[in-house]
Order: sequence, then C-alpha cells, then structure tokens
Amino acid sequence: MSSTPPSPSLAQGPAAPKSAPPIHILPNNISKTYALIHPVLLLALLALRFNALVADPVAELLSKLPFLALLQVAFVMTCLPPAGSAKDDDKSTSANSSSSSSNAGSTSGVILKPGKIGLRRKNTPKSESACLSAKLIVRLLIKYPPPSSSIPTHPYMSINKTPVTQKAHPTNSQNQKKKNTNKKKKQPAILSLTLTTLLATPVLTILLILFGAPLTTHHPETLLCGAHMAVLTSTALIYVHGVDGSVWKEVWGARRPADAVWGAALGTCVGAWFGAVPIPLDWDRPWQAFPITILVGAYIGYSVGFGLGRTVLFGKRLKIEEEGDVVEAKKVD
Amino acid sequence: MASGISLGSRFDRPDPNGLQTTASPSRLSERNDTQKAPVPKALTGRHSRPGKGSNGQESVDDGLEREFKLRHLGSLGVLGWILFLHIVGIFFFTKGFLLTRMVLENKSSCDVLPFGDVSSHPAVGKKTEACWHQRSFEKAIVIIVDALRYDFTVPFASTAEGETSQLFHDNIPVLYETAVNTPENAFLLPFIADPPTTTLQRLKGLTTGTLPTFIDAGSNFAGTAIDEDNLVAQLRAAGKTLVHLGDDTWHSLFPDYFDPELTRPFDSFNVWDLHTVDNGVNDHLFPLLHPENATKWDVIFGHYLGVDHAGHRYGPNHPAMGAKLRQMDQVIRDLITNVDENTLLVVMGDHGMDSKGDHGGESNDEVDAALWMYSKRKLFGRTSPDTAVPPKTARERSIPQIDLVPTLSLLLGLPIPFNNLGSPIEEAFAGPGGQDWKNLVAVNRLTSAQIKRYQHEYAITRGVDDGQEFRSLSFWETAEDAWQRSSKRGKSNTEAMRSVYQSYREYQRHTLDICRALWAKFDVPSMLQGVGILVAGLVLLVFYARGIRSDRTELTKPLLSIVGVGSGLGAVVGGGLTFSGVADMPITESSALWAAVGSILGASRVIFVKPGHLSLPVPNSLWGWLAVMFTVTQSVGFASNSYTIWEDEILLFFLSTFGVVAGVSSMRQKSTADRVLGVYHSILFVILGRVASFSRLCREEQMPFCRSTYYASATSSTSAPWQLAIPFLVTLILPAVVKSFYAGSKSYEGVATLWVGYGFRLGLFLTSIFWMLEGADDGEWFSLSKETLKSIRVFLAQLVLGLAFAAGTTAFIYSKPCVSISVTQGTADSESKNKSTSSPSQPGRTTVTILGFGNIYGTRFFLLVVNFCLAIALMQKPMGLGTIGLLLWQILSLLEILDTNALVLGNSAIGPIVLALLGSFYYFKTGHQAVLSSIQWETAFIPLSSIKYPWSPILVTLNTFGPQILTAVAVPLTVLWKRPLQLHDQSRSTPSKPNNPATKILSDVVQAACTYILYFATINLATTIWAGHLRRHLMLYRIFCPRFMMGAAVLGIVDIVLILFSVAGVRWSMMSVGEIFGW
Repeated sequence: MSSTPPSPSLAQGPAAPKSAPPIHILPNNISKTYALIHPVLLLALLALRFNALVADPVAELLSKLPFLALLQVAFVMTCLPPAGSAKDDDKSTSANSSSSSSNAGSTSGVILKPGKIGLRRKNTPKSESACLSAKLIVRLLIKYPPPSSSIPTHPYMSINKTPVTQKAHPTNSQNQKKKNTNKKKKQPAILSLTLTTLLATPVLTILLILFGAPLTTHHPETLLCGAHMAVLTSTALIYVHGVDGSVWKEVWGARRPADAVWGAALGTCVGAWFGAVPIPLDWDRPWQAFPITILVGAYIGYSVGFGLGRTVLFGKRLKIEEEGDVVEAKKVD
Repeated sequence: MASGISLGSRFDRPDPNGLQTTASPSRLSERNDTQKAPVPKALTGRHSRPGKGSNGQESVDDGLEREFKLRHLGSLGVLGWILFLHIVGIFFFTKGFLLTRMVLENKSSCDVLPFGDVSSHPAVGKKTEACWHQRSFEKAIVIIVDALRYDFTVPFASTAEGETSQLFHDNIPVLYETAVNTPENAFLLPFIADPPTTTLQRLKGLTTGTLPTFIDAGSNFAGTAIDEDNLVAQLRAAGKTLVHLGDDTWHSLFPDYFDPELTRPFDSFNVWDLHTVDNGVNDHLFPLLHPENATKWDVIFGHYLGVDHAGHRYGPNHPAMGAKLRQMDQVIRDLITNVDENTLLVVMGDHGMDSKGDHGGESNDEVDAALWMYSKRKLFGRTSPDTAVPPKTARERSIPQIDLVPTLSLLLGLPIPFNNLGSPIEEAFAGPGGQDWKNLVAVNRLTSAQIKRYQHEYAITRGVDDGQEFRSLSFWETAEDAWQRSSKRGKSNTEAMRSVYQSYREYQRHTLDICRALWAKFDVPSMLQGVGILVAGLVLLVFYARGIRSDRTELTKPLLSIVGVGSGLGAVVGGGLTFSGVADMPITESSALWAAVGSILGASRVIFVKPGHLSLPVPNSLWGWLAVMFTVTQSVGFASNSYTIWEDEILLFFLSTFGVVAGVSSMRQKSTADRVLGVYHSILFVILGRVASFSRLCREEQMPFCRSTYYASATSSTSAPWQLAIPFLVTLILPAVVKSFYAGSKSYEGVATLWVGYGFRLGLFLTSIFWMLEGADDGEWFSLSKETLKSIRVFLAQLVLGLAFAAGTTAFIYSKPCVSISVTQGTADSESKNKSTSSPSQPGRTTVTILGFGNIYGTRFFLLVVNFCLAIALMQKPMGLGTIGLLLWQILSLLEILDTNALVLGNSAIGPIVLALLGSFYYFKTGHQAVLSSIQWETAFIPLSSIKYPWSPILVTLNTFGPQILTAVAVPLTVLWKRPLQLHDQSRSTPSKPNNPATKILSDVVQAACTYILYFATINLATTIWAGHLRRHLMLYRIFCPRFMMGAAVLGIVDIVLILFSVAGVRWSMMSVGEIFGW
C-alpha cells in the first residue's frame, strides 16, 4: 500500500522480532475492487435483512450463516494470499510480500495510540493449546502437511530485494500459474472453514457467555452469534496464516501489525463490545434483544476495522504496556 | 523489556527452594542495585559482624524507622483531609437535596371551625355532643398489623397465566368475608402508603395526615416526637384515655400521650422474634375488652409486628407467614365478638412488603396495605353497586393512607388535625343505604375547608400568595359555589349533592397532588455548594493521585500545614460571617464550609504552584485508559435509569473486559513463566467473576429479565437447604486457595501456616455451623428450643468475630513476615560464589536460605485481608458467603495478573480501579441492590440478640458494604504484592539525608489508596450531580436518590476503612519486615 509507515528509527518497540508481515490485498484489479466491495456488501446484506433478523433472530442467523461463510471464502480466495503462498511462490509473488515484509521489519514498533481503538474484546489467550489442537485437527482431517514447513517464517528472506511498489508489481506470473494457485487456495479455504467451525466458534461463544450472555437460556442465539463472529474474524486469519504458531501467538497477544485481515478481526470484537451498550436501555425496541445489537456492532466493526487496517493504520501495532515501564526496564537492563 | 522490572518477583519461581542468597548473588545485584544483600538483620547481628558500622547501621535504621512512622502518620492525615472534604461536600448537597417540608405548629380546635360562616354548618347547634361533626363512636380500637399487604386479605385471584396461590394467600379471610357478607358493618379497601415505607414514617402519615419527606427516611433507628397537630394529640386534647400496645416506635413519636398503667410497649427491631410482641399485645388487649374494664379506656392502639418480622425473616412465601396470618385472623375474629356497639374497630397495615418480605421503597408491593373498618352498628354504606365488593387488587379504588386521619377524627367527633391533606373515606360516611349525600357533603366541606385553611397558613409562613403555589383554589371556589347554590335551593336533591360532593373531592385530591409536587422543593444553592466542594476535592485528588511524579510523602508536610492553616482561617471566616449575620446558616455549618474552601485553596497552592513534580494526569498506556474508561463511562451511565438498574451486569462486563485484556497482555510477556501464569490467572479471573454473577437478587425494575438466586425463592428471604452447603465448600476450598497463592512464592511459612491453615479455616468452619443452625432453626429440623439454638448461634458468631478481629489483629500486628530463614554451613562449592551474604570479615562460611522472600511485603499484609474476609463472610447469608470466597480468590488472581504484567511497580491505576470494580460488583452479588429495601437489617442479630449501639449499625454496614470494605483493605497489595525487598542503600545516600525505600513504598501505597478513592469519589460525584439534575424525574426516589445515597455512603466508608485499616496496616507490615531485614 502506498501509506508506507514512518521511518525505521521510530521502530522496534517491544515487538517480537520474528513476526509475519502484515498482509496485502492481492495486487490484481479484481482483488482490489472486490476488497472494496466486500465490507460494503456485508453491511448491505445486514441492512437488507435487518427486519427479518429482528423478527426471528435464530432462523435468520442460521439461514444467513452459510451465505456469510460463502462470502467470506469467496473474499479470501479472491483477495488474499493463502497460507504458504509466500514460500511456494517465492520467486514470483514474494516481491509483494517482500515489500510488506520489509515494511513490517521496519515498522513493527510504530505505536497505535491507545484509546483510539481500544482493545476491549479479544480472543482468549489460549494460543498454545489452541495451536496444538489445531495442528492435530489439521493433520487428522485433511492431511495437510505439517504447517510449520509451509509457512513463511521470517520476512528477512527476501530483504535484499528491492522493494517494489504495488502498482508496479507484475501479476503475470500469477496468471501463468493460475490453476496451480487455485488448487493452493482451496486447501487453506477448507482449512479455514473447518477451524472456524471447530475452534473459533466455541471460543467466541464461551467469550460471549463470560461477558454476560445468558448461560441457561438463549443457547441458539449465543451459539449463532459466536458463529457469525467466528466467520467474520477467523476465516481470513486462518486462510492467510494457517496455523503458524508465531502468528497466532501474536494474534492472542493482539500485537499483529494492522492489515485488512487483522483490522477486521479486531474490529469485529471491538464492535461487538460496543454492540452490548444499548441492550440495557429501556427503550423497549425489538432490536434490543440479545444478539442483534452485538452482531450489528460486530459487522460494523468488521467493516471499519477492515478499512482502517488497510489504510491509515496499516502496519501499526496495538500497544498495551505503560511507556514508563519501557524506560525503567531499559535502565535495569 | 519489561522483564527487568518483574524479575524480582520472579525470584521464587526458577528456584524451587526459595531464595538462597548464596546461590544467586548475581541476580540479586542485578535486580536491586543495592550493595547490601537482604540478609536478615537479626542474623547479621548474631553472626557477630565486628566493628565497622554495626552501631552506625543501627542508628541509621532507627532514623529510617522514625522517618517512616512520621510520614506514615502524615499520609493518614492527608487521607483524613480528603475524608473531611467528602463529608462536607456530601453534607451540603444532602442538606439541599433531601426534601424538607415546613412544619406548621398550628393546631385545630373544637371552637374554631375551618370556615368563616359558622351559621351555615349544621353541627354548630349541638356543640355539646361533638366538635365539628356529629360523633359516631365513643370509643375505638385501632389495630395495626405491620406490613399487612392488601393481597393477603383478599381471595387469591391469579392475574398471570399459570400463577398459583402462594403460602401467604387466603390465610386471613375474616376481613373480606365481613366486608362482603355484612357490608353495613364492615368495609375493606386498599390503603396506599406514601413512600418511604418504613414504620416510623407511616405512623407520622397515619396520625398527622401529611406527606412524608425523604429526610426522615434514615431516622427509623431513632424516632423523634411529632410536633405537628395529629390525631393522637387531638384525642388527648379531647380528654380521652389512650392505650397503646405493641411496637415501641409509637413512644418515640408520642411520648407521654398514653396511659402509663395500661400501655405496654415492645422492642420493635428484633426481627428474628415473631411472637413476643404479638402475644404481648394479645395478653393485654383482650382483658381490656371485658365490660368491667370498659370505662378505663377510650381508644386503644394495638400494633402487631409478627407479620412484618415473618416477612423480614422468611419472606412472604413461607409457612411461618401463613401461620402468622391465620393467628391474626383469629385475633380479629375475637375482637369482633368482643367489641360493643359504641366502639369502632379499625384494622390496617402500615405498609406492604416486597417479594422478599422487606420494605422501605416505593414499589407497588411495598406501598399496598389494607384498611378494614368494622362496627357492630349498621353504619357503613356503598354509594354504588360497583363498589359493593372489595377490589380484587390494590390497583383499583385505592385510597391514600392519610385518608384515615379525617375519617377517624370525624367519626370520633374530633377536629381534623391542622395539617391534614387526606379526604374522608366515602364508605364510612355514606350511611347504611349508601345515599346519605348530605352527610358526605358535610364532611367533605369540613375537610376541604380545613385544607384550604392550611394552604393559606402555609403560604403566609412561606411569604407567598396563596394562589401562586396552590393552583387548586379555583376548585375550592367551584365547589363552594355549587354548595351555596344547592343549599339555597333548600331541598337537596341527590344529583346536585352528589356533584357538590364530587367537586369537594376534586379540590382535595388536586391539592394533595400539588403538595406532593411542591414538597419536592430543593435548596439549590446548598446543593451547588456541596457539588462545588466535591468537584474541587475530586480535581485535587486526581492530581494528587495520578499527577504527582515525586515522592508523595515529601509533599505531606507542606500540604498538611497549609491545609491546617487554610481550614483554620476558613473556619474563622465562616464563623465570622455567621456571627455578623452575612451567612444565613448555623455557625458549625458555615465554619465547615469555609474551612473546606480554605483547605482546598491552600492545597491547590501546594499541589499546583510548585513546579517540576507535577505532570498532567493523562494515562500513558492502554491500562491507564482502561481505568479511566471504566470509571468515566460508568459515571456517565448513571444519568440513565437503565444503566443504574443494570449496574451489576455492566460491572461484570467491565471485569470480563479487564480479564480479557489482561490475558492478551499476558500473552505478550517475554518470560514463559509470566506468560503462562498471567494467562492462567486471567482466565481464572474472568471465570470466577462469571460464576459469582450467578448469585443475584433482582430489583423490581429488572423484572422480568432477571431471576433471583440469592434466596430459596423469589418470595423468600431464607436460604435454600442446598445453599447451606456453600459455607462448608468455602471452608474446604478457600484456605487451600490462599495457601496455594502463598506457596507460589514459597511464602507459606511462619504465621501464615498457623493463621491461614488453622485460624481462617476454623473461623470459616464455625461460620458454616452457624448457618447450619440458622437453617435448622428456620426449618425446625431439631427438637432444640429456639432460645437454645439462638444462644448457640450468637456464641459461635461472637467467637468468629473475636477470632477475626481480636486474635487476627493481634496476629497481624505482632507476627513476623511470612518467611522461613535457615542457616546452614555452606559447602566449599557454594563458598566460591558466596560474596553477598556473608559479612566481609567472614568470607562465606554459611548459607542463608530464605523461603518466601519474593513476596515478603505482600504475604505479610495479606493477613489483614484474611481477617476482614473472615468477619465479612460471617455477616453474609450462605450465598453471599460463597461469593465473598470468590471475591477473595479473584483479588488474589488480580494481584498475580498485576505482577505478571509488571503493573505492581509501575503504579498503574488499573489495579486499584479493578479492585474498586470488584468491590462494587460483589456488592450486588451479596444480595444487595441500590435500593433501601435490600438492606439486610436482620444481620444485626447474627452476633447479638438485641440492638446494641454502636455495634448493630457497624454489623449491618459490614454486611451491606462488606465487598467494598474487603477490597479497600486489599488496596495496598496492588503495590506490595511480590514487590522485591527494597532496602536502604548505604553507598548512595549521603549521611545527612539517607534515602529511605520505605517511604517510596509508602508513597506508592498512598497513591494506590487515592486511586481507589478516586473511583468511588467519581461515582459519588456523578450520582450526586445526576440526582440533583434529575430531581424532578419520575424515577428520582426509586432509582437516582437511592443510588446517590449508596454512592455517598460507600465513599465515606471506603475513606474510613482506608485510613483506619488498610493504609494504617501498612505500618505494621513494613515494621515487621524492617525488624528482620533492616530498613
């Protein structure tokens, strides 16, 4: 993207050195166009079906879930590089990732001003076990090769390449390998859907309950709300990152550099957090019923996070620690 | 990066044996910079360190200790000043906010009729018989069945589908039966109380006929005599002999009005006792009904308390309530057979009870009482067939309770009390045929005229024109016109009289409505003074707590001296202003106000004018912003009744948010131990909070989206049998949990083993037995007598309190830190590394092993929290006891989170703020809501068998605000938990001014305490401002006013607890560490 973050001298906050770079939208026209349309499309769908959602949340959520999943899969396959693509297409497409990787390498420390996008609702940090079980499931179910080998582990491998701007980046190599790529896209897509169902949905449902969703009643609502949020947050994340432990550690720690995928995921959670705000009000509106406002918040948060992650916040990271600590810690070191 | 900081607290983990100073000298110096290794002072002394500076060290230590003690006292002084500001601010706001009504001293008298044209009144001719109106009865028996709700008295009729009759239904049918079968002898009506629905307030209304104002709500513990004109005084003035039996509240209201020989007052506050008062009333009431005693009395007031106490103790849906109501039924039947024709019999409730049997608020269940009147003569009537049968629910055809006053006065031939605003009850004056319109018009004209006279006097006293405030005069004129016309016509026709009657009624009710609105009259300047002081205090507190970068304790001396000077000057100025007549308030109030202003000005000078040490108190991390967000959004939310009602859910939401952010932040930690522990405790924190959230007591406004679980059912205030298992579970688990947190830093040593392992466990066990016996008493499982059970319970409870406070405090003050120190002869191997332990003259002969070193301040101080936890757990019902256990666990979990995320040494605001959130959250989880009726008064009787001042209020406070008190006590731990030992650094300090790490710790503690206060001060200010701003809001008394009162009470209590216990406790904790390790 054109908004190359500030100079490297500002960089190197407390971030981990081996971080996967922020993800770019694939540099062809279809991808770029659809990436603009996709969040708008989701919001439009929500607006269109809002009355039905208010009338019968469970039925509507259930019937909409497959469409949402389909849309998300279509989006990731159209617009995003699948997990492992960087390595396989090293010579051809990695120029793309190289520009982003060098960016990441240099910009990891740029600090997202706290409070601007609060870090309020987040996936529970269960990374270790989640990753382990994810790997296990992957191997058992779809005989995917052990993920560690298929994931680009560090951005520095192509650091010597000249960074190329995206517009100038050639796309013909992709076209040549189109069939091959399509096949490469299917596997991560299936993987992402499977994991979204098996892991992300329960985790988000549990989180909803921990935040006060009813435990003894409204089970379908809570579960479906969790499922929708899971599809919104996790599909793209799993598609582009697979089950790379280091990336997921960053996700649980909310320290991914901002991009469309991470921005959308974080945005969904923050949006859902804000979605809970109108529930207690005594306006007696039917849309104040339990999962509706949260879902609307999640969808809006998704779109906003998606947009911001691609553009102004690209490459920046959320910061939690006190600045004072850093200084003191340095003294001690 | 952050690992450098938290290294110290990590000390215990890599090394399974705790700290072996020999084994890790390098880490020591890395962490502490200090040259002096933390070798116990006692040991170094014992090891005969020769010569060099041993004495010097001693004297330096003494100096440091003195300095610490001095600054500690100073810090308490600063906190005391903050408390002073809060009290003054709240006082001035309250003075203007809680409504007051002017009390007129005028009395009605027989000779003076309320209207000018005396001749037009029929009763005038027969002055000998009565005063204002024809007397109907010579004598009366007025029976008050405390908390007799209307639906107790009418046959059960299901309103909602599937609703079945409950234990309180259909147990007292006599009232309904007589009203239906003999309508000329009796009638039954819903009798709506004006809130607050406390007995004292109700008695005032029932005798004076005026509306209560909120300011009296708190005086239920100590009533004061009524000086307004009232029914009892009028009876007395008419020369009647009055007898009172039952509730002694009457005697505080009407001292010396009753016949001393026949009157029998009974203590009203022992709500555990269902029968003493009732049996006492019966024993003395029925003998008086014998014909031979008939001349001894004229009016009897009998006040039964059993129903009310059964409600408080068990809730309405309990067999004890059914039995009590059946007993009342029998009493009334006996009365009916025994009264003579000249005696009026009145039975009424003074208020109702909510679904758990409590009262005080203004929910429908609380205000719905019943009124029944009976006469042997056929006297009563119904004006229309629609009103032949008593209403099915209290929502139909209800009358306000003040209507009793003119009714009773006129029936007994007395003047209507001067301040009365009630109307005569239609059924009592309509005559047996229900068509005596003439009588109805007469009594209503009298009443209306008296009301108009009162209006006039009130307006004169206030210095305003009649018409201005009472816009009802036109109704009066209309009614008078109609009356004049009909009387001129001579022969009265029914329709005309009916319309005259209606217009008088209209005037009365309209005036009543106006008065209701009018007496919501606020003293806005006083409210603004209060808010101003609270705002200024809050601003100063923000800068003092979050803005000052230097050592707070160094600021203490200038701050305190200038505050002293400022408040002294202010007090003199304020006194002078009053003295010279400029300020129109009592001298103490004026002095207090100006003293607060003066001290604020002085303190601003110290805090703001000195440059350099101040920075803008803007958060510099997500944690800080989170703390601000939690506090500010909640404060803003109190402007909305919805967010006030659902405060408990919002707090859970915030706590879960904190837990998740903590988990995320923990994932970022470098060290694996930090990461794993942090994530584990974050998950634990969130889950514990969610588990606790299942304990709920819903307020009325939360229905139907809420299900109460605190008691056995929604209509009871006893615990279910399964809930009695909770205390035993807590006994089993909680000490082990505390132990595991101690063991995590190898600190389960010394006094901790004794106190946590045995003392705490024993106390919890005794508490479990206590609640077991309580349940046995309620369910009558044992054959033991109630008295025996009660005395065993009281003994157990006092034992637990003694254990917690007497033994616990002693243990806290005198015990050594929770470390174990052992000295062994070092091997040759360890000698080589041993450079820091041993003194220079003895190069490495011994190995000093100190277990529990990494958390030396925290574990030592935590003993105080354990003490309070035990006492507070005793004061809670079994369900609340369970949640208090969860609270303690969550506090420990929070401390671990703070430690693993390097927030202990960073003085982050998040620790104290989350503690404050926890305190507020668990307030709701221990069966409370921000409403008056949720106060569990009966807990005053847990360790006592009667009311004893000052203990009973303290005990109720411990029950009500227990969670906030417990978290307040835990506040210093947010900066002490796993804080590495910091000792005086000889090499760096100059001899003239040695640096003193203890004062740094003290400064951090004060900062944490002030941050904790900051949360409650912000909430208090917000609820104050909102209550003031929304003072005309429909929900003021239901929602905003109780929340304001709660906010103010919590703030005061938290301030006091911090001063007296938590910050004070740091002194002994630090000194005990200093005694072993030096300063």
